[in-house]
Amino acid sequence: MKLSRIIALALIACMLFTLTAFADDGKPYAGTTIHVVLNTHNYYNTADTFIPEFEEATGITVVMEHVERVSLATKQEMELGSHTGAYDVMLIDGSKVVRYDQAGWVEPLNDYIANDPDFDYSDYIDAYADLLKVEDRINGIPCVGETTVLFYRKDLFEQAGITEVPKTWAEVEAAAEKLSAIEGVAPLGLRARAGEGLNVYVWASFLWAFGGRYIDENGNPVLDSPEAIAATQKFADLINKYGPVGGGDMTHSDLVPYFQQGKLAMYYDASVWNSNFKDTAQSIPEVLENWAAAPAPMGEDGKGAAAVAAHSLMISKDSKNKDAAWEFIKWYSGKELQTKVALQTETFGAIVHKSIMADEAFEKVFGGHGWIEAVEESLTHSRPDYRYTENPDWAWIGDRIGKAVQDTIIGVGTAEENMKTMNEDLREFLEENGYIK
Amino acid sequence: MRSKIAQKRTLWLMLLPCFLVLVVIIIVPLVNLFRYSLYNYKLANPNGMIYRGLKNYQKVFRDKEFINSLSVTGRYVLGVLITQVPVALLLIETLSNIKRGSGLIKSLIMPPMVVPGVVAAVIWRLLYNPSTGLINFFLSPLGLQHAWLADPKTTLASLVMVDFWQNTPFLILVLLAGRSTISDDLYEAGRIDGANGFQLFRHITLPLLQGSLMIGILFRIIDSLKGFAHISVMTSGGPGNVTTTINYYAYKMAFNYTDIGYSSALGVIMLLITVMIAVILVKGFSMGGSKK
Amino acid sequence: MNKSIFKRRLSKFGCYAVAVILIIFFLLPIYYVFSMSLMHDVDTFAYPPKFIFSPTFDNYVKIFNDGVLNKNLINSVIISTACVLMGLLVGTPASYALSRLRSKAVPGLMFFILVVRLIPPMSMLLPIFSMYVKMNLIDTRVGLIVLDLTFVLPLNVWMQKTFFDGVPREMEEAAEIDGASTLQTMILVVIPLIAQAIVATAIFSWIQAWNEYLFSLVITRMNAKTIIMAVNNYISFDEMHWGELAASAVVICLPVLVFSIFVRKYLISGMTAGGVKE
Repeated sequence: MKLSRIIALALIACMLFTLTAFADDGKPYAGTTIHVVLNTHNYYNTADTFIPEFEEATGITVVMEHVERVSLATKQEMELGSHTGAYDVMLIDGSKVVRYDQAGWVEPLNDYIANDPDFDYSDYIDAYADLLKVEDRINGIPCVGETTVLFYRKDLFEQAGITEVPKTWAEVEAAAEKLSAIEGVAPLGLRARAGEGLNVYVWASFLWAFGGRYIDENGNPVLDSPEAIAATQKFADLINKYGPVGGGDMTHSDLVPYFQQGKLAMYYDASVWNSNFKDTAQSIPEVLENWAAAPAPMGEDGKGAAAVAAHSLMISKDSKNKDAAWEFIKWYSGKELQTKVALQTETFGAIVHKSIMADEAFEKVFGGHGWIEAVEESLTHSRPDYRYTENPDWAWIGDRIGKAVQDTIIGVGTAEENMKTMNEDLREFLEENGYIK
Repeated sequence: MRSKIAQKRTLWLMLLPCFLVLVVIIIVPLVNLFRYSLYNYKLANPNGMIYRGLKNYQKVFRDKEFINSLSVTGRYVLGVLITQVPVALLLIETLSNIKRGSGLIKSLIMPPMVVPGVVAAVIWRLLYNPSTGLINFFLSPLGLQHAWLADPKTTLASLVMVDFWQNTPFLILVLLAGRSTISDDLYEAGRIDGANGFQLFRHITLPLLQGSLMIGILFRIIDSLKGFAHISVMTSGGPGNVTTTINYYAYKMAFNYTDIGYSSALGVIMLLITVMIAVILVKGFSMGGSKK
Repeated sequence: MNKSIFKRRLSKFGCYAVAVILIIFFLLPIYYVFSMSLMHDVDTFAYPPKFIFSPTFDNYVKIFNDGVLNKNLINSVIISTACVLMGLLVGTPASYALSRLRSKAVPGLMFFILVVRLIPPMSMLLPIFSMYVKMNLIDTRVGLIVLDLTFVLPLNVWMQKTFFDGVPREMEEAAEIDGASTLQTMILVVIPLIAQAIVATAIFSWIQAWNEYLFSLVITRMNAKTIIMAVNNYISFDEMHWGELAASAVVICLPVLVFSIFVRKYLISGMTAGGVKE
């Protein structure tokens, strides 16, 4: 009798012990606090409302801050440069990844990905994920992604007698010519204001379409090539001939409202503006009904590229809570949360997962208008070196290129003069900073 | 009656807290400003700081962008002074003739000062919009509409206008404060002597306003030299570099490229320029003399 | 006789007219923002502009909903008030001293104070940041207040010293004969005479501290963030939320206006018990 009692007690003890072990499994990070700082975006506004669920499930406390993107860059560099370790998860993107990598500020995620069986890295859209790779190090996980597409107005195309959606820049120009007959509407909108994230973001499509590139095999800048000059000339011509009045200084913050108000027939820019054009609080009825998207136009002979960019999440090397940070990154950029946010807001479509793109529910909300197809097609033409972001000093370089482009647009110097001077300045800069001998 | 020495001691003691605060906060950054300007120091460069001596300064003087920014800055500050000082003087003359409601008026002209620079810039950018902006809307019946910000010929003037909107109230308030210390009796005496409004202004107001006029002009110069919120939001220093002032240029170096070394050199040069201007201004006003 | 009365009336009318025009000019953009805050984005860009529209409070609801705004607002109020008080407490005695001291060092000291304001803020960012990290002042309101004082004090001191200079010493000498200490003289006799300048100084100090962006961006994290940061977030170049921006701009202007009215009413009456004109 006594023995069986002992055995029974022992069994109960074992069960209780294993039960407590399972109970612990749910909250391995209980008591950890992580600090996150990111830019501002519609996605975060909704995603953040689900943070309490995440905290409940993992035991991690999340302190979330949002700062406007341009100012955020400075703030991050101050913190990272001084190695304060105040933030665990921060923003990174293609234009900063090499810079941060070389400065030793990022924690590579290869091991985290490899050791985590639940994490489906392959579901992330390759074009976005590749932006964050430096040599074999994966420095970030994409969260909000975009490419470039050609937005246009179906009704205006009909009115101008355009039956085929333009696929090349030459066809775009022809369409613009037809559209210029319509009063009160500018045929084509393109960013003109100088800046590595402003006009250069769109101008680079022309560079690739015309067969130009940034540097040659030895790292020398070749932006004074006939192809680059032709690309800039065409870019400037299109803006001056078919752009809105005063367009020489405009960028997306001016052009998007124009399209929303029905003043643009075609607009080549980031794919994320679809959320503006579907929003009744932002766009007039004609636009709401008739906007459409086409893949990024190419050049002749299949040359050309579409832009690609993604706000991504990184773990700072100085972080003291890297494992908890990894948990957060997985969840915040994860498929479940993104689907929830997309379907709830009906305006956030900049998801980064292949499976969501194919999801029926997603297609119901974001389909129509050709947008999903346009994005998919544009992504196949995207390339990580779309801008010369592999250079840590890309910000300076890109701004200098942007200035040459804008000068051409407003008529300060010809395309040839501006590109040649700019190329010289680039060569000097690269030499001075040790990028070429 | 307290002794002169005890009085003097109290006075020196009164200075102490102020200087303590300023010295403690400023001395380290000021020293570092000079120090960093002698190095090649970029935040993202893992090699840290590399000593360069005066090379950064040489680079500054060879820099075409910098030379251009000097010219832009000069024209901007001149534009600011030419538009704001006369209007402010005119307005205080006007306001001092208005007895009732002057307090209300003073409160009414405050909002432009209160609005943060970036917000003012966003609003004005909308107003200047060639197609949808209110300015062109009101000017179109006269056929005067224009792409104010996009045309390099008018961009700087358009920015001066925004500065006028935002900062003239400051000048007005400073001058009003000064005006309030001038006794009415002087004006009465002047009027009895047969002087008209303009003569009263020229011989009584202007001389006695020297102090606050100097302060107003000095700080307007300093602030417009430092201003960058308007430029950053409205034109990003462009089109081209038509509106890139020294400060905006230094800001791009420090803010966008975190090139601390070079921007420190620019900072030192800016500091020296502004000190020179301040010295000239103060000397100029005190030589003009304040007849009491 | 009639002619000169007519002339006077005309010039008075002219004066009022000029004042009215300028005031309209200053206030029109403010009205523009205010109406923008009551519109949906789609109406904001309508052309011809919609002067008549159905107002909506959606934008205000949105900006207060995320809760962050409230904390930032409180921080800003605390910091600005502290700056004004500290500025007056520390700056006024200093300007009085600089005005009354007959020492060769005075111009030099004045220039040192000015230099503080002449240093380009961008150049100060990194040294201040590192210093604050070491002193544990990051993300504290005190840290921000001290920083803001560095631009508030120079204006305070220079303005007040100029006005102190304009006050003749007879009054102080009389008070001293009566046995008043230096401090008492300053507070009871001289300051009321420059009431306008003190008020203006207080208002300027508040505004400067309120609108300060660069240092708030870098020095603060979660706790001491000011409201100007929240407003700037709506100005992001990536997405334009005009309605929310306008609403937050309106919200940000209100406390300052309240403060200035308060200061005018109470500070002046408090100081000018001796009877000084407005």
